[in-house]
Amino acid sequence: MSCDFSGTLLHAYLDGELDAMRAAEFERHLETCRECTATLGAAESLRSSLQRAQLYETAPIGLRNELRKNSARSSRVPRLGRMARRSPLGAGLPLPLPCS
Amino acid sequence: MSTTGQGKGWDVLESQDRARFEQLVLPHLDAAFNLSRWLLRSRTDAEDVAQEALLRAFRFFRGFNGGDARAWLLQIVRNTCYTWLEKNRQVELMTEFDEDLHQQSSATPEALAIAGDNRERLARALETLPVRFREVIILRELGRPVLTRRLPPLSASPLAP
Repeated sequence: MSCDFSGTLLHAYLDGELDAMRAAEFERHLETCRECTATLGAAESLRSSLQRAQLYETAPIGLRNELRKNSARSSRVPRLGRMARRSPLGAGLPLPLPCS
Repeated sequence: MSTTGQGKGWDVLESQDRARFEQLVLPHLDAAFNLSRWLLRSRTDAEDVAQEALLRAFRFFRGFNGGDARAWLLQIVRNTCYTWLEKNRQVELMTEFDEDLHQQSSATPEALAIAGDNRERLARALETLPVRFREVIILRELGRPVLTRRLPPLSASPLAP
Protein backbone atom coordinates (compact mmCIF):
# COMPACT_ATOMS: atom_id res chain seq x y z
CA MET A 1 0.00 0.00 0.00
CA SER A 2 1.90 3.02 -1.18
CA CYS A 3 -0.51 5.89 -0.65
CA ASP A 4 0.13 7.66 2.65
CA PHE A 5 -3.57 8.31 3.16
CA SER A 6 -4.46 4.63 3.01
CA GLY A 7 -2.31 3.94 6.03
CA THR A 8 -3.35 6.93 8.09
CA LEU A 9 -6.68 8.52 7.31
CA LEU A 10 -8.58 5.79 5.55
CA HIS A 11 -9.57 3.71 8.55
CA ALA A 12 -10.27 6.75 10.67
CA TYR A 13 -12.56 7.95 7.86
CA LEU A 14 -14.24 4.55 7.71
CA ASP A 15 -14.88 4.65 11.44
CA GLY A 16 -16.24 8.20 11.31
CA GLU A 17 -13.46 9.49 13.50
CA LEU A 18 -12.35 12.38 11.31
CA ASP A 19 -13.63 15.88 11.87
CA ALA A 20 -15.56 17.49 9.02
CA MET A 21 -12.55 19.27 7.57
CA ARG A 22 -10.33 16.21 7.46
CA ALA A 23 -13.16 14.04 6.15
CA ALA A 24 -13.73 16.49 3.30
CA GLU A 25 -10.02 16.52 2.59
CA PHE A 26 -9.98 12.74 2.41
CA GLU A 27 -13.03 12.68 0.15
CA ARG A 28 -11.27 15.05 -2.23
CA HIS A 29 -8.30 12.71 -2.15
CA LEU A 30 -10.57 9.76 -2.98
CA GLU A 31 -11.56 11.45 -6.24
CA THR A 32 -8.06 11.04 -7.57
CA CYS A 33 -6.65 8.01 -5.75
CA ARG A 34 -7.71 4.67 -7.12
CA GLU A 35 -5.79 2.80 -4.46
CA CYS A 36 -7.62 4.44 -1.58
CA THR A 37 -10.95 4.08 -3.36
CA ALA A 38 -10.36 0.36 -3.81
CA THR A 39 -9.11 -0.13 -0.25
CA LEU A 40 -12.04 1.78 1.19
CA GLY A 41 -14.47 -0.24 -0.91
CA ALA A 42 -12.94 -3.50 0.28
CA ALA A 43 -13.05 -2.40 3.91
CA GLU A 44 -16.68 -1.35 3.58
CA SER A 45 -17.54 -4.68 1.97
CA LEU A 46 -15.81 -6.55 4.76
CA ARG A 47 -17.66 -4.57 7.40
CA SER A 48 -20.97 -5.00 5.70
CA SER A 49 -20.52 -8.74 5.18
CA LEU A 50 -19.39 -9.32 8.76
CA GLN A 51 -22.42 -7.48 10.01
CA ARG A 52 -24.79 -9.40 7.77
CA ALA A 53 -23.19 -12.67 8.82
CA GLN A 54 -24.24 -11.96 12.42
CA LEU A 55 -21.18 -13.46 14.01
CA TYR A 56 -21.85 -11.77 17.34
CA GLU A 57 -22.47 -14.50 19.89
CA THR A 58 -24.51 -13.90 23.00
CA ALA A 59 -23.82 -15.49 26.37
CA PRO A 60 -25.26 -19.01 26.61
CA ILE A 61 -28.23 -19.73 28.78
CA GLY A 62 -26.08 -22.04 30.91
CA LEU A 63 -23.77 -19.21 31.89
CA ARG A 64 -26.68 -16.94 32.72
CA ASN A 65 -28.33 -19.68 34.73
CA GLU A 66 -25.11 -20.38 36.58
CA LEU A 67 -24.85 -16.75 37.55
CA ARG A 68 -28.52 -16.64 38.49
CA LYS A 69 -28.14 -19.71 40.65
CA ASN A 70 -25.29 -18.09 42.49
CA SER A 71 -27.25 -14.91 42.85
CA ALA A 72 -29.94 -16.79 44.71
CA ARG A 73 -27.49 -17.99 47.30
CA SER A 74 -25.71 -16.21 50.03
CA SER A 75 -22.69 -14.39 48.69
CA ARG A 76 -20.72 -15.76 51.63
CA VAL A 77 -21.31 -19.39 50.70
CA PRO A 78 -21.05 -19.63 46.91
CA ARG A 79 -21.74 -23.13 45.61
CA LEU A 80 -19.15 -24.47 43.22
CA GLY A 81 -20.31 -24.34 39.61
CA ARG A 82 -18.92 -25.76 36.42
CA MET A 83 -15.99 -23.40 36.43
CA ALA A 84 -15.06 -24.31 39.95
CA ARG A 85 -14.77 -27.92 38.92
CA ARG A 86 -12.25 -26.97 36.26
CA SER A 87 -10.37 -24.19 37.92
CA PRO A 88 -9.22 -23.21 41.36
CA LEU A 89 -10.99 -19.94 40.92
CA GLY A 90 -14.31 -20.86 42.45
CA ALA A 91 -17.91 -20.38 41.55
CA GLY A 92 -19.72 -17.75 39.57
CA LEU A 93 -20.85 -14.36 40.67
CA PRO A 94 -23.29 -14.18 43.53
CA LEU A 95 -25.16 -11.46 41.79
CA PRO A 96 -28.63 -11.02 40.38
CA LEU A 97 -28.58 -10.65 36.64
CA PRO A 98 -30.90 -8.59 34.52
CA CYS A 99 -33.21 -10.61 32.33
CA SER A 100 -31.76 -11.26 28.93
CA MET B 1 -6.23 -20.32 35.79
CA SER B 2 -6.04 -18.08 38.72
CA THR B 3 -5.43 -18.25 42.37
CA THR B 4 -7.84 -15.45 43.06
CA GLY B 5 -11.13 -15.43 44.71
CA GLN B 6 -11.53 -18.30 47.09
CA GLY B 7 -11.73 -16.26 50.23
CA LYS B 8 -11.58 -12.57 49.75
CA GLY B 9 -13.63 -11.61 46.74
CA TRP B 10 -17.24 -12.30 47.31
CA ASP B 11 -17.69 -9.85 50.10
CA VAL B 12 -15.59 -7.00 48.82
CA LEU B 13 -18.50 -4.84 47.69
CA GLU B 14 -21.04 -3.06 49.80
CA SER B 15 -24.63 -3.44 48.69
CA GLN B 16 -24.56 0.00 47.08
CA ASP B 17 -21.52 -0.89 44.99
CA ARG B 18 -23.05 -4.25 44.19
CA ALA B 19 -26.16 -2.56 42.82
CA ARG B 20 -23.99 -0.21 40.82
CA PHE B 21 -22.04 -3.15 39.44
CA GLU B 22 -25.25 -4.84 38.37
CA GLN B 23 -26.44 -1.69 36.71
CA LEU B 24 -23.23 -0.70 34.93
CA VAL B 25 -21.32 -3.89 34.21
CA LEU B 26 -23.66 -6.85 33.98
CA PRO B 27 -25.58 -5.55 30.97
CA HIS B 28 -22.34 -6.15 29.04
CA LEU B 29 -22.26 -9.87 29.73
CA ASP B 30 -23.00 -10.65 26.08
CA ALA B 31 -20.17 -8.43 24.89
CA ALA B 32 -17.84 -10.09 27.38
CA PHE B 33 -18.83 -13.53 26.18
CA ASN B 34 -18.58 -12.57 22.51
CA LEU B 35 -15.04 -11.27 22.92
CA SER B 36 -13.99 -14.39 24.85
CA ARG B 37 -15.58 -16.69 22.32
CA TRP B 38 -13.74 -15.21 19.38
CA LEU B 39 -10.40 -14.80 21.12
CA LEU B 40 -10.49 -18.40 22.37
CA ARG B 41 -12.33 -19.89 19.37
CA SER B 42 -14.45 -21.99 21.67
CA ARG B 43 -17.79 -21.37 23.32
CA THR B 44 -17.00 -23.81 26.11
CA ASP B 45 -13.73 -22.15 27.08
CA ALA B 46 -15.28 -18.73 26.57
CA GLU B 47 -17.97 -19.57 29.07
CA ASP B 48 -15.39 -20.30 31.76
CA VAL B 49 -13.21 -17.34 30.94
CA ALA B 50 -16.10 -14.88 30.73
CA GLN B 51 -17.19 -16.03 34.15
CA GLU B 52 -13.67 -15.61 35.49
CA ALA B 53 -13.49 -12.12 33.97
CA LEU B 54 -16.78 -11.11 35.56
CA LEU B 55 -15.52 -12.27 38.91
CA ARG B 56 -12.36 -10.22 38.45
CA ALA B 57 -14.44 -7.23 37.44
CA PHE B 58 -16.53 -7.72 40.54
CA ARG B 59 -13.48 -7.81 42.75
CA PHE B 60 -11.83 -4.82 41.10
CA PHE B 61 -14.99 -2.77 40.86
CA ARG B 62 -13.94 -0.42 43.61
CA GLY B 63 -11.11 0.67 41.35
CA PHE B 64 -13.52 1.60 38.59
CA ASN B 65 -13.75 5.35 38.58
CA GLY B 66 -16.61 5.79 36.16
CA GLY B 67 -16.37 6.23 32.41
CA ASP B 68 -17.14 3.51 29.92
CA ALA B 69 -18.03 0.38 31.90
CA ARG B 70 -18.18 -1.71 28.75
CA ALA B 71 -14.65 -0.77 27.71
CA TRP B 72 -13.47 -1.38 31.28
CA LEU B 73 -15.05 -4.83 31.38
CA LEU B 74 -13.77 -5.79 27.93
CA GLN B 75 -10.25 -4.84 28.95
CA ILE B 76 -10.54 -7.27 31.86
CA VAL B 77 -11.99 -9.92 29.55
CA ARG B 78 -9.15 -9.41 27.10
CA ASN B 79 -6.51 -9.74 29.81
CA THR B 80 -8.22 -12.82 31.21
CA CYS B 81 -8.33 -14.40 27.76
CA TYR B 82 -4.66 -13.79 27.10
CA THR B 83 -3.74 -15.15 30.53
CA TRP B 84 -5.79 -18.25 29.74
CA LEU B 85 -4.14 -18.65 26.33
CA GLU B 86 -0.71 -18.27 27.87
CA LYS B 87 -1.46 -21.08 30.22
CA ASN B 88 -3.43 -23.39 27.96
CA ARG B 89 -2.54 -22.66 24.35
CA GLN B 90 0.74 -20.82 24.42
CA VAL B 91 1.51 -21.74 20.84
CA GLU B 92 -1.37 -19.59 19.64
CA LEU B 93 0.19 -16.52 21.15
CA MET B 94 3.41 -17.25 19.31
CA THR B 95 1.75 -17.54 15.93
CA GLU B 96 2.92 -14.72 13.72
CA PHE B 97 1.06 -13.31 10.78
CA ASP B 98 2.16 -15.34 7.79
CA GLU B 99 1.88 -13.58 4.47
CA ASP B 100 1.60 -16.86 2.59
CA LEU B 101 -0.90 -18.44 4.93
CA HIS B 102 -3.03 -15.47 5.85
CA GLN B 103 -2.99 -13.49 2.66
CA GLN B 104 -4.13 -16.15 0.25
CA SER B 105 -6.50 -14.29 -1.97
CA SER B 106 -9.20 -16.90 -1.45
CA ALA B 107 -8.80 -17.22 2.30
CA THR B 108 -8.65 -13.76 3.83
CA PRO B 109 -11.71 -12.49 5.65
CA GLU B 110 -11.79 -9.63 3.18
CA ALA B 111 -11.81 -11.86 0.11
CA LEU B 112 -14.42 -14.15 1.58
CA ALA B 113 -16.59 -11.22 2.53
CA ILE B 114 -16.43 -9.85 -0.95
CA ALA B 115 -17.04 -13.25 -2.49
CA GLY B 116 -20.24 -13.75 -0.62
CA ASP B 117 -21.89 -13.72 2.75
CA ASN B 118 -21.18 -17.12 4.11
CA ARG B 119 -21.32 -17.13 7.86
CA GLU B 120 -19.36 -20.31 8.41
CA ARG B 121 -16.65 -19.45 5.93
CA LEU B 122 -16.25 -16.00 7.41
CA ALA B 123 -16.03 -17.48 10.87
CA ARG B 124 -13.41 -19.98 9.78
CA ALA B 125 -11.38 -17.28 8.03
CA LEU B 126 -11.48 -15.17 11.18
CA GLU B 127 -10.39 -18.08 13.30
CA THR B 128 -7.47 -18.71 11.01
CA LEU B 129 -5.99 -15.32 11.83
CA PRO B 130 -3.44 -15.01 14.65
CA VAL B 131 -5.22 -14.00 17.82
CA ARG B 132 -3.94 -10.43 17.94
CA PHE B 133 -5.10 -9.78 14.38
CA ARG B 134 -8.40 -11.47 15.10
CA GLU B 135 -8.86 -9.29 18.14
CA VAL B 136 -8.76 -6.14 16.05
CA ILE B 137 -11.56 -7.36 13.80
CA ILE B 138 -13.63 -8.62 16.72
CA LEU B 139 -13.44 -5.35 18.59
CA ARG B 140 -13.96 -3.24 15.53
CA GLU B 141 -16.56 -5.18 13.58
CA LEU B 142 -18.13 -7.72 15.92
CA GLY B 143 -18.38 -5.61 18.99
CA ARG B 144 -22.13 -5.09 18.84
CA PRO B 145 -25.02 -7.41 18.15
CA VAL B 146 -26.97 -7.06 14.95
CA LEU B 147 -30.51 -6.49 16.06
CA THR B 148 -32.27 -8.94 13.83
CA ARG B 149 -33.23 -12.54 14.28
CA ARG B 150 -30.85 -14.57 16.42
CA LEU B 151 -28.91 -17.33 14.71
CA PRO B 152 -27.86 -20.56 16.40
CA PRO B 153 -24.36 -20.63 17.89
CA LEU B 154 -21.57 -21.66 15.60
CA SER B 155 -20.78 -24.55 17.90
CA ALA B 156 -23.90 -26.20 16.57
CA SER B 157 -22.26 -26.33 13.17
CA PRO B 158 -20.17 -29.27 12.04
CA LEU B 159 -17.60 -26.71 10.89
CA ALA B 160 -17.12 -25.34 14.37
CA PRO B 161 -13.96 -26.35 16.26
